[in-house]
Amino acid sequence: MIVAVASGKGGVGKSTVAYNLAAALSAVVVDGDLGMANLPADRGPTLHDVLAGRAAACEAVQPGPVTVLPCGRSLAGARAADVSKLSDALAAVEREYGTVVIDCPAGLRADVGVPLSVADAAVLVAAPEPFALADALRTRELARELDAPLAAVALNRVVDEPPTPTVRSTLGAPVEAVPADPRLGRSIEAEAPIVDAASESEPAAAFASLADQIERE
Amino acid sequence: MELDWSQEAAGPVTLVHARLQNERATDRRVSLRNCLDGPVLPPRRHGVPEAGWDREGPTTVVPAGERVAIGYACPAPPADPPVVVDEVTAAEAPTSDDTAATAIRELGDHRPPRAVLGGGSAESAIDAASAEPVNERPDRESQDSEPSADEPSTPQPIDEPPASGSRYDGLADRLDRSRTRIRTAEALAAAGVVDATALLETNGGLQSVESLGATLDADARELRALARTASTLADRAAAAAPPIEALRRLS
Repeated sequence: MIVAVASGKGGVGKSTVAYNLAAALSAVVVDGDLGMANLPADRGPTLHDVLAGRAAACEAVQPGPVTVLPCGRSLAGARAADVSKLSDALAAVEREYGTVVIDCPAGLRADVGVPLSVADAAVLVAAPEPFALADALRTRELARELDAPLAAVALNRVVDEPPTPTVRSTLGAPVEAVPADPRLGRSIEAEAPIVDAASESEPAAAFASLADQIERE
Repeated sequence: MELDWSQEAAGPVTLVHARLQNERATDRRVSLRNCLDGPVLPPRRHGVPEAGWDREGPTTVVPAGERVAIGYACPAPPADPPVVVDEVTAAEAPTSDDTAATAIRELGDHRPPRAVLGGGSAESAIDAASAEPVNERPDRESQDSEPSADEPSTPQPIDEPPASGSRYDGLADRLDRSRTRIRTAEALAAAGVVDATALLETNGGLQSVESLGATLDADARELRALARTASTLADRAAAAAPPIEALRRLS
């Protein structure tokens, strides 16, 4: 199963959601942000090398608390990456590891469109603010166009009572509110997904519920 | 299915025009096969051929009782016939369109522009040149020089700022960009298979090198125009002499 984590806007915590969701699903998380990678990377081939034909997709997968297929950080690598190879790369990782979560970049360009077009389920990440909702709506339209069923919406960094019914009726998918928590913010850098680091916490419960939602697809 | 074709040689390529007429009362899907001795160059967006196109030829749906015109280029000499109908089928179900290819075609290119990669590499030079309007400089030069030759009586301010270093720098930069492109092309021509592959990769693939060819043609035109303007100006500079004696008497 391929799960695409997307959002219209950048900076809403897409990578954090993708990383922690992959931990909850025991999946591989692929850093699909070709221009601005976020997920931890050790030495070794990256998604840039895979998309430039220099490495096989499974060679670039790195073990860790969450299994990651990292992305390179150079602009030259981003320029050399052929995004049309991404669907084959994701399929290869899916065959080997079962479930793949891909962290899509912000925006509505081809590097978002290709993961959405091959995804079996899409998760939209939105901040609980009106302007973020408008962007999430645009991404939902793109997902619809590319036949990616919207499995859930993650309302990230919720502090007050989240506008869940509004979001639900606007985007037409189950909404999961992920509470703001400093441990979540640190989870990628510390390589400590919340479901492992604080399995009893509210955010961990939110990710477990999000994972259930997706597995039901 | 009626096929009516014409062809036209345009330099090294042949342009094939095909008109299809569906006389039946149902929509029909038609595959055309190119008979020229070369591949069909399909229309592309973001490097991905349009849906229904491959190297053999285009496939299109002709609605009931309607006509559809289609055309393509092929790098081969004309032949008779250039194109034939390969297959006609009912067009009830849309072909399984590859949505990943659709996404790449329809959405913007994700790649950062070459210019941001920095360094005075050939790559950035190609981009820098394509970003600036071609022929701008020679046009401006010729506009500056020629009318003043016809109307010498028009008073011109003499105390315009002396040709500053930056102006020459601009010209030197311009020549440098051409020089880099010419060197790249020469290196590609002289390289063996292995070197050429590496060079092709560092220069952004076949597409970029194809556009390099076009840019070099523009370079040649531009540089010749620049040379003409420069030699006209040199002649005028040699012939012109300010009437210093007369002016001294005036002051």
